[in-house]
Amino acid sequence: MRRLWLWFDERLHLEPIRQLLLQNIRKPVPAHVNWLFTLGAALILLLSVQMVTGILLMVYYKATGREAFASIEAIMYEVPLGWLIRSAHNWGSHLIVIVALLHMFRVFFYGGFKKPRELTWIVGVALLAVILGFGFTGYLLPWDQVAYWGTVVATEAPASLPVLGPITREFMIGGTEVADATLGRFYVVHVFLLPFLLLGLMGLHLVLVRYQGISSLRRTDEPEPTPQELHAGGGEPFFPGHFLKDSATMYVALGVLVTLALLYPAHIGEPADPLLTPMGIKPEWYFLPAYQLLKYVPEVVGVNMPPLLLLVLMLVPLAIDISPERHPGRRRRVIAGWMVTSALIFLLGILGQLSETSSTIFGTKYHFDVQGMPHVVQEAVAETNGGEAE
Amino acid sequence: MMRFLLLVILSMAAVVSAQDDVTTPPGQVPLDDVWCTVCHFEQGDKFALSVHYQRGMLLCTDCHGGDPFEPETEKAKAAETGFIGKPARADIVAVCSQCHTGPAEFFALGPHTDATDPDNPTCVTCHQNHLVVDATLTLMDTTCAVCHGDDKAIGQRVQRIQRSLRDAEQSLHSVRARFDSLQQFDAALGRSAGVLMGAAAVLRQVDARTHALDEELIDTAIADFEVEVEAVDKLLNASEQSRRRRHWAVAGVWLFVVANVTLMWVKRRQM
Repeated sequence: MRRLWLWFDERLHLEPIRQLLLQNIRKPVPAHVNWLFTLGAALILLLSVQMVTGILLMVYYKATGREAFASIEAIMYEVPLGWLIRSAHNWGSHLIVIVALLHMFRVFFYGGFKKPRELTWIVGVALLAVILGFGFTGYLLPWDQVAYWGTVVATEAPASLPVLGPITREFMIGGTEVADATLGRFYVVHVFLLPFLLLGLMGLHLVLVRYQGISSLRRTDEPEPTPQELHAGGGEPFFPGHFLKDSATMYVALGVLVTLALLYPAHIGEPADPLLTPMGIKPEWYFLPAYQLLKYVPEVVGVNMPPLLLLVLMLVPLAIDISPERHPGRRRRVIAGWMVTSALIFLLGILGQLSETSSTIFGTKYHFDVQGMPHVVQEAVAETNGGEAE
Repeated sequence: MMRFLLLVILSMAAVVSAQDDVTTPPGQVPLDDVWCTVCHFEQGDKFALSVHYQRGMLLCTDCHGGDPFEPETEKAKAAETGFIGKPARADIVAVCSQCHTGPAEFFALGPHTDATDPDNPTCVTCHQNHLVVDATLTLMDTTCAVCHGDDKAIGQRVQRIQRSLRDAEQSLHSVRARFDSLQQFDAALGRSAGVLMGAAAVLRQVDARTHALDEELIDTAIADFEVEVEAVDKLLNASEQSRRRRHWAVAGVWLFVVANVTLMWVKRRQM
C-alpha cells in the first residue's frame, strides 16, 4: 500500500493534498457535539444506498409508458432480489427526507448556520430542494395509477400561475397531457440531472463542513475557538473519534432501511390509465402540506408557497436569524417562531392525509372532506348493557 | 398518541365546520336534489337508508325509470324517460335481475318461481323494496317463517342451508383476513389477489344458488368453493414461510449492525 502511494506521489506530488486532508479531518469537534450531529452521516449513507439501488433498478427499468409498469412488475416478481432493491430504494426516499429534516432542525437549533457558515446552510437548503426533486420525479416512474394521477394533479398546479404558468407546465411534462414525453423527462431529470446536482452540492457541503469545522456555541462576534481551545474544552478530533460515532449511526441507518425493506416491501398498484381517474389521489407525504394548502388559498398563492418557503429557509442566516447568539437558550423567540411554523406545516400535512378518508374514532365514524374537516357518518353505538337498556 | 392527535384536530375542526347532510354518502347524489322524493317522501326516507343508496349508488330511476332531476312531473314521467312506475308483480324479478343476474337465474329454478301465484314471494317479499338492507343469512330466520312457520321439515332445511353457508362465509372471512394481514408484508402476494377473488366469486355463486333452495346445488358449489379456499391457503402458507425467512434475515442484519457498532465503541474507548 505504501509503495503504491509512493508511486503515485512521485508522479503527481500528492503529499501536500494528503496533508491538507489530514489537517481538516483531524480538526477537533466542540465538546457539545453529540449523537444528533451524526444525522448528516446517516444522510450520506442513505443517499449512497439510493445511488446503488437506483443504478441496479436502471438495469431493468424501461422508461416508456408502454413498458414502465411491466418492467417494475418484472423487478418485483421476476428479477432475483429485485423486490428488495426496489423496496430499499422506496424506503430510502422516505428516510432521506425524514433524516434531512431532522438534520436541518439540529443545525437550526444549535445555530450552526450562523456566520461564517451561511454558505453551508444555503447549500444544505439547495440539497433539500434536490432531494424533494428526486421524490417528485421518482414518484411517476412506476407508472401506476397513483403515480400517474398524482403527477397529473401536481403538474396542474403550476399551470395556474399567470403568464408563465401554462408554458412552465408544458415544459415540465413535455406537452399538454402527462404521457410518454413526461415519463422520459422525469426519468432523465431523476437519473441524470439531479444526481449530478446532488453530488456537486453534497461535495461542496462536505468540503465546507470540514474546512470550517463544526460550529461552537460561541457568539458570532467572538473569535472562533482554536483547535487548542477545543481540545482543552473536551473536544475530540473529528477523525477517528467522531467519525466512529458517525459510522455507528450509518450502520443503524442501514439496519433500519434493510429492516423496512424486508418487512414492508414496496407495492405497485394498477397500471396507469389516463382515462380512469381513481378516488383520493394524493402526493407523497412530504408534499401533503403543499397539496392541502392549495385547497385553502388561491392557487397562485399556494403554488408559490413551497419555493417561497425554500427561499425563506435560504435567507435564515442572512435576514431572519441574524443575532450574534448561537446558543438555543438565548434565541428563544426565533426558535419559537420556527416551531410554530413547523407545527402549522405538520398540521397541514395531517389534514392532507386525513382529507377524503373515513376513520372510526372512539366508535364514531367520521368522513373527512376535501378540506380535511370531519363529518359524522355514523354515531358511536353504546355497547354496554346500560346503553342497550336505554 | 394518534388518537389524541385526531381528537385535537377533530375538536378544532368542529369549531369551524358545520355538519352537513349526514345520510348522503360521499360521491352519491343528495336525495334533496331528486325531485321524486318531493311527493314520494316516505319511500325516499326509506331509500336513503338502503344499501342501494348508501353503497349501490342507485337512484329511483334505476328501478322505476323516469328522470329524477326533472322538476316537472309530466316531463319526469314521459315515455321517453323509460318511466315504468311501480313494476307489476310479474316484472319484479326482471327489474332486480338487471343487476342481480345470479340470484334471479337460480330463483327461477326454485319452488317460488311462479309469480302469478299470489302465495309465492318475489324478491321484495324477503329483501324489501325501498329499504333494501344487506342480504345476510339471518334474513332467512324471519322471512321463511312468515309463510312456513309451522313446517318443521322446511325449518330444518333452512337451518342446514344456513349452516353450510355460514361455514363457507367464515372460511372466506378467515382467509381474507389472513390475506390482508400478509399482503402488507409480501409484495408478491398482491399478484395473487386473483386467487382470493376467485374464491369470493365462487361464494357469490353459492349465495346465488341459495335462491333455488336446492341443497344439492348448494353443496356442489360449496365443494368448488372449498377447492378455491385450499388454493388460497397454500399461497398464504408459502407467504408466511417467506415472512419467517425475512424475519431471520432482519435478525441477521441487526446482529451485523450491533457487532459493528460494538466494535466501534470498543475502539473509541481504547483511544
